[in-house]
Amino acid sequence: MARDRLWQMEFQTMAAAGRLSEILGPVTLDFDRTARRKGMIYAAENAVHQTMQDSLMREVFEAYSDGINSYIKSLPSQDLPLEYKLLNYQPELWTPLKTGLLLKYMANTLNFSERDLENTNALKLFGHDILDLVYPDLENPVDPVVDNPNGWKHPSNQPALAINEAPNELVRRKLVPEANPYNGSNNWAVGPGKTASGHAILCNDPHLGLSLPSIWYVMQLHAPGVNVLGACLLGSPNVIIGFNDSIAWGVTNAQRDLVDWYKIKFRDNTKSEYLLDSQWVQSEPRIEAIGIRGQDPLIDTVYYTHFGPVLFDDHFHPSSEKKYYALRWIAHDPSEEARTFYMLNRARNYDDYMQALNYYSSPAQNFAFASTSGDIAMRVQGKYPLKKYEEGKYLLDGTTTIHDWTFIPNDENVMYKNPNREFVASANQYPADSTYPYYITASSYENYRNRRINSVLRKMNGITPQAMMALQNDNFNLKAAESLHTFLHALDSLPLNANEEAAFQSLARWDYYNNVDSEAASYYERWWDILYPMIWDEIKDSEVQLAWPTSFTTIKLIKENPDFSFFDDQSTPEKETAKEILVRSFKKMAAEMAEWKENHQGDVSWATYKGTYIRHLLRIKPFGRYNISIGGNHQIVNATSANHGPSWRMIVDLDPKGVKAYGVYPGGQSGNPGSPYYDNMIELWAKGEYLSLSFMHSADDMPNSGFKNVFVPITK
Amino acid sequence: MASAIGGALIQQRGISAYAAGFLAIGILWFVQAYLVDQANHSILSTRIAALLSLPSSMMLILITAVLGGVCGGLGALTGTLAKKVF
Repeated sequence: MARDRLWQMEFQTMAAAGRLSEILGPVTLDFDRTARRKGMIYAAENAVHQTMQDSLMREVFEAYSDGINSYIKSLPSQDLPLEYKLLNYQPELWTPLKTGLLLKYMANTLNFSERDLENTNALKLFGHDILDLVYPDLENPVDPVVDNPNGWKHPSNQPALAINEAPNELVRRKLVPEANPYNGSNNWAVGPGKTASGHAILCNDPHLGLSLPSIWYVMQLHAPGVNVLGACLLGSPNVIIGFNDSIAWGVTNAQRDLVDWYKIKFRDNTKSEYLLDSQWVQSEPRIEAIGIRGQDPLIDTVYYTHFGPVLFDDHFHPSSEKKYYALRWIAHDPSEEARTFYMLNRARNYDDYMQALNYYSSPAQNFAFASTSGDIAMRVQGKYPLKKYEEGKYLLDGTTTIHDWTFIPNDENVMYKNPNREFVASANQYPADSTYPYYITASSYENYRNRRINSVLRKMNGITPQAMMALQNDNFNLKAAESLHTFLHALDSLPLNANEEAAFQSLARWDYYNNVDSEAASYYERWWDILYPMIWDEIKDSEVQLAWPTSFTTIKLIKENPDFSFFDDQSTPEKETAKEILVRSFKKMAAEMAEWKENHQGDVSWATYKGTYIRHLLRIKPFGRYNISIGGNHQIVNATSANHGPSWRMIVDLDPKGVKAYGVYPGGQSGNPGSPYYDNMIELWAKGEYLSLSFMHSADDMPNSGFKNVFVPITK
Repeated sequence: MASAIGGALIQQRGISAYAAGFLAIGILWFVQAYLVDQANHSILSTRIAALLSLPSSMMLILITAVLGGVCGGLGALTGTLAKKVF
């Protein structure tokens, strides 16, 4: 791993730790300060401390560190990876803390998403009724991860039924960016009754920002007691998504609000004490020294409270109001996710899988499972705070401990095994049916990919791995299928010019597939991209930060509430309804697309228009790949948009006589831009093709492999 | 170093010494760079050339050769002039 991706491993952990300014100078200072104030290092320290309490995991972390360091020490400076030479710095030695940082980097990518402060603003500006309409807790219809009506255990612990007291104020701050809301994935497993071979099949494709070197690294680990193959993260031991000779597993992000903000009342400007349950409690200052290349380091003092770090104070994104907000984030809690993966790598059956997941607290994921004995399962696993109705949806009062988190016990999490419908699937949608006894809230849920996947799987029988590959690459645009008719209806009896007529005709004939050559897909997507901010101009132009409603809710409002006050364009004297906005955005789109077509030799096909690209982490243009020909988009099963999409695609056929698997990712195993293996799989991935993953059973079992690394333990 | 020694051993006028050194090392570096580049199918040179805003990867190889040549020429010249001193 170090041999092929050393620079990437180190760079990612520097980003996690808020140390990029040491390499890149003052340009990354706000980024680094944000990372420090979010408590990234604090979180990593807690995770490593907890995980290393177990002597086995301690050995794992230390051995992993030692391995990387023996490579670094053996590297002469002329053989340093290219990026070190370009930026003129040297690698540091690896430590278990860096593994912790990498794991928290993933947690940040996957579950630092919340709308609490934005919801607080919306509540004050619009009121509860509008808030419910525009940001519903549960969209309808929904096809949840686990549909098990009345199948839930009676909750062992329920908070009082009293509705949480909502705040009545505005948060006038520049907030920290949340994770890309499209970070998510698809996974599903089909049971033996639905497949042609009679074996279970498991599929997973995680959706992340596309970059080079690739975020995943595929390896097979073969040693006494373990033989596992799959995708690994650079900086963590163990396979993260993969299979062995008995089982396979995959993950998608479980949408849940795992971040809360507490309003802190400090005693005075020294911030040394804050009010908690009518007493003044000492805060803990943590000095963060941020090194800056070519300058003196910046010293940032962050005050830690009972809840967590006070991220917003007078020295960070300050506001004229003297209000302070502390961050409570699940990632701060001591955790042992590394142990879960260690155990999954060695799991032989459903019970082993369940045991492994009991150690898993963050970032919450929907874990799909399948075994060679024909079991399939889904478990929405994480440590989830147990909340009253609407508690945690807004800013919380930090002068009291009544909003402290208690947790839903593991065995009351959402899960099931071998359901009647003979498949399990998740795509970041709402986790359970309405009979689930606990209050759930999240920043947003997917409501298109899940319904498409489930509807296809329900109807399929005699499933083969090839059919699953086709599904992972499915370009059907459910959102368009549910909205285009209404949109075009707004143009009825409207006189259209030549460009508009061309766009209209193309859209009217569309089959709703965002295929590589589809012109209509380009028209629709551009129309949507103009329409959506035009509708929500109140949010775009708001002085205080507000959340953007989902596409699903937006379309629902267009269809059912076309006279809704938000459709009015604030900048014009007329009062618009949905119809006027649809017409205006359509005309704008038609004019833009005609110009685009002229500038691109008449080619307005979707792949050309979308122009999918994959950049190097440092944004060095010649190290990236541009204009990749692939279809799909956000909220489509093939979730490839301009710069985001399936970072790994895996299909595993759980044949008891020999597990067979297929995989591909948009990049290559080598992190060296001079290597042919830097980006060699991109074409395959774009075409929807897969490589056969040779799963070897012994060291001599080597079909056409090029390389084999045999590690011999150093006897101490 | 090599060109300094060569320059010292083979006494010439300054300019011919320089030219000989330039050609010798220039050709050596060109051939080395060219062979490495061929083995790599020009993957890295194309990227680095773009990074440096050069028109092509061959330009990168030529610049490499010229740089080597300049050093070689100076070395040979040094050798020849040093010999004259002693």
